[in-house]
Formats: sequence, C-alpha cells, structure tokens
Amino acid sequence: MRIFTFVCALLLLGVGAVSYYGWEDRGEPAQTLTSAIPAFVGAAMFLGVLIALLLRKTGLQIAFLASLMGAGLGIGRMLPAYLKETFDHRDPFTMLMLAMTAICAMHVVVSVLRFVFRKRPVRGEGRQKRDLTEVGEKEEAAEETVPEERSSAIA
Amino acid sequence: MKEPEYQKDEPSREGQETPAGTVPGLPDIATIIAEEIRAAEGEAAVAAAGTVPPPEPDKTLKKRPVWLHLVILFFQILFLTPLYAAILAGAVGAGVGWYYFDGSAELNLGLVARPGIGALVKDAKGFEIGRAGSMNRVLITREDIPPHFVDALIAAEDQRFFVHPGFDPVGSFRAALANLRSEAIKEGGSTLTQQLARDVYRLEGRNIDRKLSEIAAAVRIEEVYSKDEILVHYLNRIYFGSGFYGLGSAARGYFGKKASELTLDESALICGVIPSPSRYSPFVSTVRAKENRDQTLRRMLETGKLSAADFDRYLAMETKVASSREDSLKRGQISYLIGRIERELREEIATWPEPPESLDGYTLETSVDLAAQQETAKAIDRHLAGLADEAGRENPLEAAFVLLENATGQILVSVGSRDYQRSEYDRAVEMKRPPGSAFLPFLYAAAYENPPFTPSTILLDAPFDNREMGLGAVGGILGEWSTENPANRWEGEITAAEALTKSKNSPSARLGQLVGLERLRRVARASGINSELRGIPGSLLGASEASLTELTRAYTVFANGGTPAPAPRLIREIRDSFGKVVARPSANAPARALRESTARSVASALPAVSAVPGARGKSGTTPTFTDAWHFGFSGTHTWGLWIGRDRFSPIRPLAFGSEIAQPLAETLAAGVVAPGPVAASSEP
Repeated sequence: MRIFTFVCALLLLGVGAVSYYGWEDRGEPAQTLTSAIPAFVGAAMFLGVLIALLLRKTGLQIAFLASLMGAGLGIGRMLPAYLKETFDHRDPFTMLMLAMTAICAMHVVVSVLRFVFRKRPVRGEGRQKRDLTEVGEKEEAAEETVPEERSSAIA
Repeated sequence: MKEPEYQKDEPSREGQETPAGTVPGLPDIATIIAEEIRAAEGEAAVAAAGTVPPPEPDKTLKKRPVWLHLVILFFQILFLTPLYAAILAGAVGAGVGWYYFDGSAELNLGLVARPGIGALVKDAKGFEIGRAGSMNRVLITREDIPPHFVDALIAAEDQRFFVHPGFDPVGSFRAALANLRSEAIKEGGSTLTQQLARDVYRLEGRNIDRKLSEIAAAVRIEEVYSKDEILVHYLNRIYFGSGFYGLGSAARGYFGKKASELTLDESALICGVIPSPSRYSPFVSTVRAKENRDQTLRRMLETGKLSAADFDRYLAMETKVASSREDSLKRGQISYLIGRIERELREEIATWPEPPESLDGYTLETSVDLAAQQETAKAIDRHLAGLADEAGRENPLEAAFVLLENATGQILVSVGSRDYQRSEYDRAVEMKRPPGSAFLPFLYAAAYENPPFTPSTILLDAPFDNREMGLGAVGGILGEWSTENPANRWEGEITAAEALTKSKNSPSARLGQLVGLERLRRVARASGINSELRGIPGSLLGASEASLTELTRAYTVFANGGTPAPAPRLIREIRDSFGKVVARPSANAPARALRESTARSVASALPAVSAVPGARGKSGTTPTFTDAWHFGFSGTHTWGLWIGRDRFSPIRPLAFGSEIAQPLAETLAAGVVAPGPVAASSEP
C-alpha cells in the first residue's frame, strides 16, 4: 500500500508541476498558486508515505485523507462548469483536473477496499503471527496487535 | 522513564538489526521497499504454482468470532462514514470555491477605484442633461465621511467589516438565522465589499452562481485595497434611491448639504435606504424611510455606537428631507433620461468591434428636448392631481408619454413615470397594457389591405353578442357594450370609415371576424408592434397588451404613408474626447407595412386633433376603464399617452380615453409639435 501511495503521490506532484508551470501554454494571464493544488495534495500523500515508514497506520491515514480531499477538490473544481454546461474535457486544465481526481479517487477506492477486505487478526497472536500471515498482509495484521500481547512478544 | 514499546504506534520491524548508516530505531526505506517487492514476488510465485499451501493451524490461537468482526465493522462504518463524508463535502466545497476564485483572476481590480466621469449627455438643443456612466455622482474622499456615518453604516450593513477578509461566514450565518426566525428575508449576508464587487462588476441576479462570483471578487478586492479605500469606493458608487448614486449625491439630494455636514439621524436615514433604495427612499415613503432609520439607530445602540440616552433622543427626532415637488420632478426626469440613455448606449456599444474601456470624455448628443420633457412631467403631475384620485397613495394614478419624430423615430419626449423619484418603473417602455379601442386603426388597416374591404364597405352597427369577443365590459348588457362613448347609439348600416371615426365596437367586431386574427397580426408586426397578439377574439378589438412606445411607433405608419418610423431611440451621435463622431446609432430602415392608400384611408378617418392643426388622433379605453390612451400624429411627429394605475383597478367610473387622456395629450403635443398637416392625410 505504501508503494501504491508513493506512486500516486509522485503522479500528483507531476500533475501539479505541469499545471503550475504550463500556465502560458494554457493561455492563462498569470501563474497562480492554486494551479499547483494537485502538487500540494501529492505532497501531503508523500508526507503520509514518509510517516508510514515509522507509523504505518497514521501515515496511511494521512495519505487517505489527502487523496479523499484531492478527489473532492477535483470534483468541486469541475462541478460548476458542468452545471453551467461549459465543461470541456478537451481543455488542458480540465484534463489536469480530471487526472488529479482520477488518481485521488483510485487511491481512495483502493484504500477502502484494503480496509474492508483486510485479513482479520487473531487473538493470542504473538511473533508467530508474522509467519502465519500471508505475505503482503502482514502490516495490517500488525496494526491489530493487542498492546499487551505485542509487549510480551517483543520481550 | 522509558516509554513501553506497546505505547508506540507501530514500531516497525522490531527485533531486526539496524543496517549501517541508518538511524537506530528508524527503518531503512530501501529495506522496506525491497521487502514489499519480495512479498509481491512471493505472492506472484504462489499464484503461478497454482496452489496455496494451507497455513499450519496454530492451536494456541483463537479466531475472533464472525459476529464480533461484523459488530466492529458496523461501528467503524457508523462513525467513520459521516466523518469522511463531511471531509469529502468540505473538499468539494473548497473545489467550488477554487473554481470561482480562479474565475475572478481576470477581473480588472482597477475598476473599483474608477467610478469614472462618464460621457456628457446633451439634449437636442445642446443643453447639458447630465453624465452617462457616472450616474451624476458627487465624489467624496475619506475625510468627507463623518465618523457617525461610518458607525451607522457598519452597524446597519456589515458589523464585522473591519475584520473579515471580504466575505463573512459569521455574518452570513447570523443573517440566515435571523431570517429563519422571522420567516422572511430581513437581513442580507453580503458584506460591504461584496456589495461593492456586485456594483463594480455588475453581478446581477439572486442565485448561488452570482453569490459565489461576488464572494470571489470581494476577496480579490480585499487583497488589493485597504478597508478605508473600500469604504470610500463603496460610498462613491452605490445607489441611495431616487436617482442618487454615491453618498455625496444622496446628501445633496435628500438634505441639500455636503456629506461631511450630515447629522447622525440623517446618516442613519441614508444608511437605512441601502437595502432597497427604490422602496426606502424618503421621497418614495417617509414612513418606511423612518422605520429603517430607527432600525439603523437600534443597531447602533446594540453595537455600542450609540448611548441609550442618545438613542431615545434621535428616535424621537423627525428627519426632514429638503426637496420641493418641482425639484423632485426635475431631478427625477433627468435620472430617468440618463438611465434610458445608458441602456441604449450599452446596446450600441455591444455592437462595436472594439468597445472602449471607458466613455470618460465622450459626448452623447440626443434627440431629447429637455425643456419639453420637464414641462411634460409637470403638466402630467398637475393633470393627474386634478383627477381627484380616490385610490390614495397605495395605487396612485400614473401616466406615461412619448413623442417622437415620424421620419427618424428619434424621441423628443419620453416620460415613463409621474414622479421618477417615487417610482422608477418605466411605463413608456417596460409596461404593457391592452390599448383597447386605440388599436382599431390597425384592424381597419388590415381590412383595407385585403380586398374586398374598403372604407366604403358597409358594416352593421347593431347589438352584437359580447360573448363572441370575450370582452368584460362593465357598462353593457349581452349584445352591446358601451365603452366607445358615454352615450352609445345603434346606427344600423354604416361605412367602415364612419365606424372607425366614431370608434364603433359592434361593426369593428363584425369586421374583425371577417378579417381574422392572422391578417391583423401581420399588419401589427409590420407596423412595429413586437408584442405578440394573443390568440383570443378580444385581440381584434385591442385586448392584447403592448407598450406605449411600440404603439406610438406603430402609429407613425399612418403619418408616414405606410412605413413605420425606425425603432425609437434617444442617442443621435456619439463623439469621442476629440470631438470626432464615432457613431451615429440608427436602426435599420423598416420595410413598408401598408399600402399608401391604406395608410391615407385610415389616417383620414381618424378624428382631427384640435390643439394641433392638421393632426389626427385616436383615443382608447379598455372595457374595465383601467387604461385610458390617446395617440396622435402630425406631419412631423407622433405621440402617445397612457393613464392608469400599476395595479389593475379602474381609473374612475366611465373613465374614457377621450375625456381623461385626449385633452392632456393634445396639450402636451401642442407644446412641442409645430402645426402642419399629416403628409398622407389627403382625402381618399
């Protein structure tokens, strides 16, 4: 999940950079900080990945919140144009917004699926749990470790 | 004390050795990524082998029961879903804000500080009427604004003006709450900056799109201007009712003094006008103006800007406005004309390939005769006052008058309201009413255009079933009605020309049934009546609504020998600041609407206008006596007058157009129009 989040963050940083530095190509009158919003969302997700290296659950929660907000921002940014029937998917900026929304939405969906279908931990599990848990699911299992048990396991 | 391991969020890879070059206790990112890749490879290898070895059951472990798992999942969903939904909704809202904020990036913020001096407007004789685009403002500076005026304004309109960033969620919430409590829109949530943005960028209409654009523009304005600057630009721009734009103009107009000389109660009264200038102007309603003044004083008391003793003192005080009736009428007519000229100017500029950014220094030469306009307004006011109006102030008698040139359609006089400072509704252009029998000339024209009908066609003036026309006459019985004159007589067989001269309804209704609505529609449209004739039999006798200006223009078809005047307009020439003519607005020459013989026949059948030698005219009355009309035309000019009430109720019992409107219309026209025969009025 961390790698997937890391890739999403990189993609968003790329979208933000294109949006921020490509203002002239889009025929806009000036460079605006708001056009770099995808990069800010990507940066927040990247921060989440970094935190997840230490505090996995917290880091991935931050990344999830960032992608949720990114998806919402993208939808909100395009909604008025859609309602006013001025939405043009061929417009370069709209394409960037669509990209940001798609990346964030994908991250949200994958995160939710991982949460819902994660392997449930078992009680009384100690260090052996790592061995029993399938590869790729071990972090989720670790999240659910009962503190006392974990403490004893470490000891 | 050392923190126990279990209190940490998850210590990653416990028990593993720290690789060289990494911080002890912190995992190495490369290691973790490598592990994840190995894990993924392992999964792939297992999938490729096609079998998944069952894990060794560990007897020491107890599985969490399914029911417990479901309960935990349920509570997680129960608490997390609303939280995430709220975050998502907030993000969508922020995205919408982002859209509007980006949209406001192209606004020219310099416009805020440039109310402009506008274009000089001159009348037909070269007299200065005023300035278009500047709204006749008297510009003020920060020093001209008395401190108590600022207190009153802030208390009444935007109590958090000095702290908010252009929009005020707290103020909006409070206004919404107050409106909910009172179950009416009593407070607006717009800040002063939002109101300024609305005025500068003409953000009209009450919808969410306009509101969000307004907020975005307000935030941009606050980024560039200080609060004091915003205050000054706001007070120089906004409308204070009765034709006064800006505080300087309002102070002068309402109290005959400079803005800096305003007293506290006068300031409160002016601030009270802002929410609805056309309703709360003291010239429109002294009662409503006082109520709003008191409300402003109350808010000043609530916000601590006024002591209780002062509040009581000012509450008991009467605030007098300084204005004579004549001044009010004069100022009102100028405001009205400027407003109309500005509308026309906007339409004209919209057709230019490169419209100028500002019209400062331009000169507009118009066809208006300012002196005649002022005299007409005074005469109308006198005439209506003399009609012994019994309906009172709630639904007073109103009137509108238009006089234009037959050849060019240029307007010399256009009065849209009895007193523009009381009512800004333009009854000459915006109002549409049924012309009643004043519409008959078009019916006869439609008949003469279609053989075998001629002025000599014999028609029957005898009882006619009123239900066939569907006109709700009040004076008649089944088979007759009595709106054409006070003492109607059945005359048996008469010619069409005679029926028109005597404005006979019964023979006209019979003729109308033969001619048909479609032919009448064609003639009306060709003559310049753009309002659609309704598909009811009553339309044959003028039951369909039209505006005074379009009907007056349509009457030129009889004066011009079958061709209507071009679309009526006020502006003749637009000159730039160097005096060079940049535009001569003119409508396309209209096509012929009637044969010349038809126009002559109809014109000659209409009664002569005694006050203007050579002129002819026609009065009109609606069946319920709610509208009285008179139209007339000479060889050079055509005019129209309407008298009635805004809310449909009779002018008075048996109020015929020939008695109520005709004498006034003739007097008004005689003051402007030189005597001369109608070009096409020779006998058929």
